[in-house]
Amino acid sequence: MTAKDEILNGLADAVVKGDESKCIELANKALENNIDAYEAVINGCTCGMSIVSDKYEKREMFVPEILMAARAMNGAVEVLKPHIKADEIKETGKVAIAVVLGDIHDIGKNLVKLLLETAGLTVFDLGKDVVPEDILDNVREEKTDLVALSALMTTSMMEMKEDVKLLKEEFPNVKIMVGGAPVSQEFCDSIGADGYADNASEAIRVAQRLLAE
Amino acid sequence: MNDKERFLASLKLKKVDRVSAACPLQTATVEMMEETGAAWPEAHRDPEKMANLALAANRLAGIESARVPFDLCVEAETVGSQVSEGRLDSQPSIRRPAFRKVEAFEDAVCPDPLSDGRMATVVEAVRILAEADETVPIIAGITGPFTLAGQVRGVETLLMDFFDRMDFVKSLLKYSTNVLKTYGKALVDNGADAVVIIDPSAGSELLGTAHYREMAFPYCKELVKSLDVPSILHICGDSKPILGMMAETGVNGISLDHLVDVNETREFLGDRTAIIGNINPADTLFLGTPEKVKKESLECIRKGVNVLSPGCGIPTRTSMKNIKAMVEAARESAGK
Repeated sequence: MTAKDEILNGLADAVVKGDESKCIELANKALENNIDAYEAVINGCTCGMSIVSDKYEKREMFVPEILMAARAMNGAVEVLKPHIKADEIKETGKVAIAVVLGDIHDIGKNLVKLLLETAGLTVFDLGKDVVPEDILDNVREEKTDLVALSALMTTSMMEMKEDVKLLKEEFPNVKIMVGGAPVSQEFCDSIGADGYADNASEAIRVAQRLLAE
Repeated sequence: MNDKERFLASLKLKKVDRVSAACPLQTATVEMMEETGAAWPEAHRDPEKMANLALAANRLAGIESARVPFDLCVEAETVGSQVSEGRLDSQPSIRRPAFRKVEAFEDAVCPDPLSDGRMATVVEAVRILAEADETVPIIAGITGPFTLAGQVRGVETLLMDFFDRMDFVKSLLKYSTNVLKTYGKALVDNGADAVVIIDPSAGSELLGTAHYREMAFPYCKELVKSLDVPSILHICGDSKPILGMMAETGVNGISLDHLVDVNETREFLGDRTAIIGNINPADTLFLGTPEKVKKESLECIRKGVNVLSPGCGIPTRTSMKNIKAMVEAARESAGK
């Protein structure tokens, strides 16, 4: 293994372990060894986060460990980011993600956001308890390709219907995907959304499918 | 048997004339609010309105219980979290957890549920209901200790605290358990016939079994043990991996999300607890036709639920027709 591989693998491993200080240490080491910062993010940090995502899907890791992994990854990204050359960043799909109005349960949303970013997409996090106007503004200003909506309560899921209606009226081409505990494929179809995912890993596949359409 | 006798006997797995159609989770709908004039958000803070709207589920839709409150923020708010009031068809939600800063926890006090905040509102609503009708069981909902800890600290922060400050996590869990034991006792003393503990943040998809065992289970068990009436535990999502521990808390009944199969649960639990559930609240109860509701209800009954009920709170825009169809299915099951 070359020194470079060792650093990148170490970075991925530190992300999986949620070891923030190790991540920062290795990110600095990568820069000292003249490893390209963008490559360190993609082949080190993001690679680690993909392993985390797989382990979550297999129920080998759970949300507390994922949050630690995300924190560790962000530690390394903070170090590497200033050294990334602008022309290296590929233009991929743009996704806006939000928890609908009346709902503040955002762990699922944060998880999906993390995985979407890991998959290389540009993500606008609109937050939780989001009014429809904020979603419309984002699509208008950022030319967002895909809107991902989350609702965790049977009492808030109706807001999705309203969001979908308003979005489709103004932006017939924007894709919309929905998710969250009470939401189902049936509900997705009934409100006219384009895609549904029943877990975070599935959400990434659905997002990629919708963006490719 | 009247509704209360049937429901309580069902929870104790005693012989009943038919399945109960009590509902341990949120029951208020916009239709009920319009009929009674007791509407959200006011009904969350006015004990008379809260009692009226809870009883409307029984009087107008036939649900065989009266359930208070309608949201899950009562305890978190009473100990100092900021809460938004919600709207006619959406529940209050936590805006700013009380102990976002660790230091704030140093001033934490255990509220007096008879006089403090919305705990007192719910206790008073229970007292009004107990006087209103002694044949309808009163079900009081309280938050699970782990969920409450997440609400007063911020869930994600709490999960990261597992790795950063475990002693603080344990103190917080002890505190939330004490708050809930005191509150639970007041609800029971004032007439609650059963208590349902709602612990969504302890769900297996979120915590996994190992964290559930350490962070949620012992505290929930302590809370269950302190209650002098039958209790029910509801954990959202796929609770299959933790069903054994849920039963081991000592609850009388486990309320199942619609994602969990009743047959598998029964096979696993045997006669350790009653099973409550688990009609799909969104696709069936809210979006389905009365025929679909009835069909799925009969399916739940055939699989052997002890109490026929939705797998989560009733969506506020659910039609009265659909709720009635669920209750009818239970009533028609008599003698079968």
